[in-house]
Amino acid sequence: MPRLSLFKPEKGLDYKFIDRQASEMFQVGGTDVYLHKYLGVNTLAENAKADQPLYSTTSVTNIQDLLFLENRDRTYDPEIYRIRGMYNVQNIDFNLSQFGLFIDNDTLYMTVHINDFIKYIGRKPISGDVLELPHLRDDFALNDKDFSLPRYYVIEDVGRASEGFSVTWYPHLYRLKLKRVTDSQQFAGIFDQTAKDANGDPVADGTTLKDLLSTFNKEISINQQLIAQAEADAPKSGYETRQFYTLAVDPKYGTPLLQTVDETDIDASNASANLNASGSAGIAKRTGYTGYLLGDGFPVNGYDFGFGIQFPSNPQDNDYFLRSDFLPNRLFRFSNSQNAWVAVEDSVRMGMTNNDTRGTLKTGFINNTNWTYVDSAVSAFATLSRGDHVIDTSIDYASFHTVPFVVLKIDSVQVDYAQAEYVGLITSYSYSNWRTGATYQAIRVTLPIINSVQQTIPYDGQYSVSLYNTREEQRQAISKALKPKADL
Amino acid sequence: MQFFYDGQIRRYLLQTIRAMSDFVVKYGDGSLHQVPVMYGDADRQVANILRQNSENIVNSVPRISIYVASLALDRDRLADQTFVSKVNIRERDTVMDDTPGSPTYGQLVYTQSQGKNYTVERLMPTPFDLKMKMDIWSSSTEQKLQILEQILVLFNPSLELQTSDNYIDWTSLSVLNLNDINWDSRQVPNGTDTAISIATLTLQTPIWINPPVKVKRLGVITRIVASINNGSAVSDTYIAGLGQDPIGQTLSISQAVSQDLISITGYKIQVHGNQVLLLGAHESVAPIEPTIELPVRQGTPLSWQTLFSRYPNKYIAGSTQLYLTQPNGKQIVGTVAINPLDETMLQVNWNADSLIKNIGIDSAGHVEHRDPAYSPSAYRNGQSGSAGSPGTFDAIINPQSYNPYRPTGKELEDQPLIQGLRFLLVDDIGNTINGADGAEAWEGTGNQELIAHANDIIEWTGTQWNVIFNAGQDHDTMIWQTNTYTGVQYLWDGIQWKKSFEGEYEASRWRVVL
Repeated sequence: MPRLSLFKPEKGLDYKFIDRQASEMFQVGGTDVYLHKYLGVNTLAENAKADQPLYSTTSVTNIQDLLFLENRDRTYDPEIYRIRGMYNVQNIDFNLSQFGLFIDNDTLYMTVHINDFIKYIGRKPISGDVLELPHLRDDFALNDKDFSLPRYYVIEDVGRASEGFSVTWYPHLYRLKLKRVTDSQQFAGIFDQTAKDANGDPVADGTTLKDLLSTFNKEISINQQLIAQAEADAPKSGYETRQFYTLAVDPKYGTPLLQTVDETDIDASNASANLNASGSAGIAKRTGYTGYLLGDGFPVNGYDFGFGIQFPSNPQDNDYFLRSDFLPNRLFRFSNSQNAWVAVEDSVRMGMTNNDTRGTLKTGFINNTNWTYVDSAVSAFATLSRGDHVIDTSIDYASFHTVPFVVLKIDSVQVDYAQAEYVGLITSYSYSNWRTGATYQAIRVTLPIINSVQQTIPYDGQYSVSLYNTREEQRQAISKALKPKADL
Repeated sequence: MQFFYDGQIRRYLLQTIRAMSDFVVKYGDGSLHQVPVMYGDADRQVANILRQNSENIVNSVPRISIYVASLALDRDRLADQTFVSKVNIRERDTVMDDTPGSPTYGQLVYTQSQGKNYTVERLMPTPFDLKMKMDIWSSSTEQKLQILEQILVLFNPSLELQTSDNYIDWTSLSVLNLNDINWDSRQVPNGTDTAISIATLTLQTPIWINPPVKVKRLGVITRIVASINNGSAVSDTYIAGLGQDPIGQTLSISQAVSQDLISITGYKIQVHGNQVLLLGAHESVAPIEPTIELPVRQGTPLSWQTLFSRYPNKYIAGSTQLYLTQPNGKQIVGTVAINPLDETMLQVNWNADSLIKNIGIDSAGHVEHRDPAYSPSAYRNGQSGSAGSPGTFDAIINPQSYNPYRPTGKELEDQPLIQGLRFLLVDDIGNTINGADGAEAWEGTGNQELIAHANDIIEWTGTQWNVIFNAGQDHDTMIWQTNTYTGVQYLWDGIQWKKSFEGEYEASRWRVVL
């Protein structure tokens, strides 16, 4: 008779018997656990680098960032698996931190049946798998949605549960260390999914799990409200003085000027329908208020002014004009005595919110979507009017219609388009040369419609129409700008 | 103490949150995600509301949280706590846009004219040093680097912070300094539990806390025009045509005229009684000499309304004051109101206290301030009140047609004369050739004849008329006397009696206090 031993080198019938009992125990006494199966990470081909490699397949063994040893953009199986698990329910305490309420003791230790897990999931549980506990759904949360809120955990560590070792010394249970998930980059694959209704169908209004579960939307809303108030307090840098009145003074004596109400003496910019008795005041030449960043490009006292990229003809004394082609925009006043436009102030007040249009010296290097065009193929000139959107050129269509980029320029104002982005940008028309009488197909540039808005010529004048073969982004990272493009 | 609160530290926090807002992180799929920034010391109830009162809500990462670490008085920036800075502000005027179809219809809009004017007084604020912590919770090191790189490039060495764009607020501009960076709240190695990763920037900003300001009416007096009687020869304190000023011995008209007075334009005024005409720089009236009738303007009528509209909403009928500078430097003040029937005319209610004090003449003919023998008690015995003043007379009369015993001409019997009765004569009376047969009405009780001339002042002594002011001999003294019958004050200028302050006022000799 062989010596008695519950342990056997192979997993025999005893093991299988006990394992079935254990499985049954989970079936009978365990709770459903929905598992979002972690599939792995990979890097987009355009972002791949040696330390953030592009893998041939997405695998759970891939490491996204070899420097920081991080897997940030995790992919999850869209199918949700149901397994059984057991854990000790515990009371929770909320910890009020600087980032809101956290659950203090948020670590759960759950046991699952090893073989069942392998059978259903196809692999061992690993750190990164996300679990949902349906029995912890919150049906009465404070929101205006008709959904109950699920509870999510992510597996941090996996080990064999000590209580899962049977008398055969073989383990039957995994012990999963679970932590609460966050709405973060790692779990975006889960939270960006559309929430599902009781039947497991995506909800009609497109509500995502992020909308349902995350604090993000509320926090962004609060943040935007705070910014709105900050903008109300200080819309722009410097100081607002447009509501103030500047008294016209005698330049010789510094004494206030009074002018008889006489149409011939009244400034053109002041000769509006709103002229009133106070028009008898002299015209203030410049603001009477001094300080840091006061220039806003508006004449003092609300005088009328024009703007554009060229000074108007036949100006009158004390006419104001804002040159919008100057950066910052510059306000001029016409002086009869000097017969010249005199610079009054620059529009130096800027918004202080970090939006994409902030244009200070520093943010001008960051908020920059301009292109630098090089390798000109051909140029022509066209006299255009504001509002035009069809530009006929003398450029030969057959030779140049494939050149990818079109640039229209007048003074310092430039508009540019890429053929690849706008179908129909370049077409042809029959051009007749008035000197030679030759007729040929020439390029017609039709400005595109962007966001349902027909793009048009912004100012009257003679534009250069240039076609370029290449362009470079003006904004480039300092480590990448003008790096070698060819074999050295 | 009355309550005041302007939310000044609150605004610094708001602007700090704004400066740290709108940064984004980029996920591996190229999508950009904004990093919410909020105050870090939330109310517990609000925190529960943010979690929808549910333990199933998940926290969003990345997050930035800003909160106050400390606030301390900055003694290095302390300054004179009694210093008051004044700033003068002229507002633009506003009107209700009543143009239908206008985008601003029914709203207040600014005009191109001047509105209300103010002087704002600001007391020296108290300097403080505000330190804030900025916690950045990120879900990965790469994410932390993305956030930090965008934020840290802004500090070179500091960020400008502005809590308000109000021109009055002299403390709205500050800077945000980056004092310290704590890379991570976690330790390496991590251990059995993985805590969240928080990088902390310590920010510091020098701030000021202000008391309320005082907003007052603009404290600038608007003086509009200039001098009288230019061209008059001046020698010491004697003024040709005006005589010697017994009061302002040290002030000559040349000094007065040479004062550097503020002038808006060359507007002149013509003062006639309680009426004032506005004249252009080179206009005049006819006749130039004082007359009983209002002088006639020799030019285009100018509206006071137009002049005052130069300072909208400041003219207040009955409150706005007109100041006339007199040759002796005194100011005559009256409150004004534009004549509603004639806007070229200003009605003035002269302040009697501002009129120049009368110069007394005692019964012996001694002039106050000039003659040492002048005796204030030796005059007009028996008179009381203003009638008893040595600087007054009772009427201006023509002695050739006026009978002092029958003043109205309707009396059937002679009336007794009161001792001290004084008249200013507009014509001569009596002559030595008449001997004792002069006008009986002007004889004394002992038949003493009165011989006086135009512009003389005579007084009834109780027994006879005496000349107490001899115009033919008094050319050097400016004498102010009030006619108690009409209340009008007159000035003897060495040549003639004229109403004391009437006439033309030119550059720098008149001003209006609105």
